[in-house]
Amino acid sequence: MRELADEELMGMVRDGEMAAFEVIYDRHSGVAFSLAYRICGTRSSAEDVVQEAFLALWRSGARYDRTRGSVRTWVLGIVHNRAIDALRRNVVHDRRRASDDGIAERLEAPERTEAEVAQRDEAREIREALQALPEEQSRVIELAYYGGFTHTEIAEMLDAPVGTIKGRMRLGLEKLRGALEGSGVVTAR
Amino acid sequence: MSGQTEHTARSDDAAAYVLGALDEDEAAEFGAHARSCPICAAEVARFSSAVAVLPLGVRQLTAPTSLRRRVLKEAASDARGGRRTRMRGLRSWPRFAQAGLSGAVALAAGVVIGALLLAPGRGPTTLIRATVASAAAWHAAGQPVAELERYGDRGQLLVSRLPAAAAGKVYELWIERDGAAHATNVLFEPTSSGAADVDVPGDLNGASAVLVTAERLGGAKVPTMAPLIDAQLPS
Repeated sequence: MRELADEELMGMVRDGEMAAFEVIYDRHSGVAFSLAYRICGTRSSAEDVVQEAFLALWRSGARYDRTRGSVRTWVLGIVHNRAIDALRRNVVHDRRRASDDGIAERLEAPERTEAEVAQRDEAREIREALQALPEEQSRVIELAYYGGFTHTEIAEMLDAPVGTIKGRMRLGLEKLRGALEGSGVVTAR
Repeated sequence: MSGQTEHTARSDDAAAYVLGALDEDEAAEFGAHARSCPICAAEVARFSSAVAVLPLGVRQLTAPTSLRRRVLKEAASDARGGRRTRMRGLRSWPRFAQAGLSGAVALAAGVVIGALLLAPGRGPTTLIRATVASAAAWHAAGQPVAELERYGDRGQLLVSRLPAAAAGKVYELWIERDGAAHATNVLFEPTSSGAADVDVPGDLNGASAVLVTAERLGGAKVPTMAPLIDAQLPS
């Protein structure tokens, strides 16, 4: 079972095969939790988001369409949407970056397998590519993607025209894509 | 507006769209446009490949073991057309974080509440409900719930609703063998939500219990109080 590709496992999840769902969970829960924690800022909110996302996957696995991307991308899309929804409901805004001191350190993923080492390396490359962007571009991307802010909100926060903000987003994503294509993280189209 | 000018503007919209940064109405309008415009559809696809890797760029953490248990338990008990899975027949119990202990009465010790999961690469997991001291023993109000998750000779103590230790104190984990509590040098504090998942170091074979006390900062060599949490291991 653990040797099967995600797409094959999703077919089994659609048929209600619990063991396949377990494998999907084990493969993607780490990065899902990491993303939810980055957005929500507290462990309890991140756990709620991940739980909702995977149960949504279990209950609606039939909606997965392999032609629209990988299972990981699909799962992380669900996690991102739910985490941003939680932020926008102000459920977690007040608690962001509040008092989960040390949790990130305690949950830091160990590097135990080649796949985990590769994933850590990939994460490092992506972070470096983001950091290499001009600050005004990386800032608008982070505020939008991890912070859940709209371009109009960001424009107000940064006291800049809306068009400027959207332009920075486009330039930033173009540069990010170019850098990650160069390192093989993103496939050229 | 000429076609070229329009698509210069729309290219900016495409970036904001894939970042989820357009207002709701704008996103709906642009999404409808992109479905009929191959130029914008290509822009969306191009930017999407960059946005798709953003989740992988965050600091990578390990999802808590307790979360895995909760998700799989919920999925197993989920009503999906009456279908039964291999986990369906197992005993279910309330969500750990919501499991209530009524009043201030400690639970009976060492209740094995389920052989629940096959965690990856580590064999069957047994959950042992721990005895928790009565309310008067705790520094702050609240009634913690604690379970020891044992897999083979390893274990993890999972606690919820755990109040912060008193000022100048910290929680310390002990392993009991031959009637004596041995220091593990594991000191911990709960999260702001009262959760603590604590790995028990070393081998649990031959151990009779996993205990928690509140000790001075830096820990103690021997317990200075009766256990606040006592997870008795079946012999």
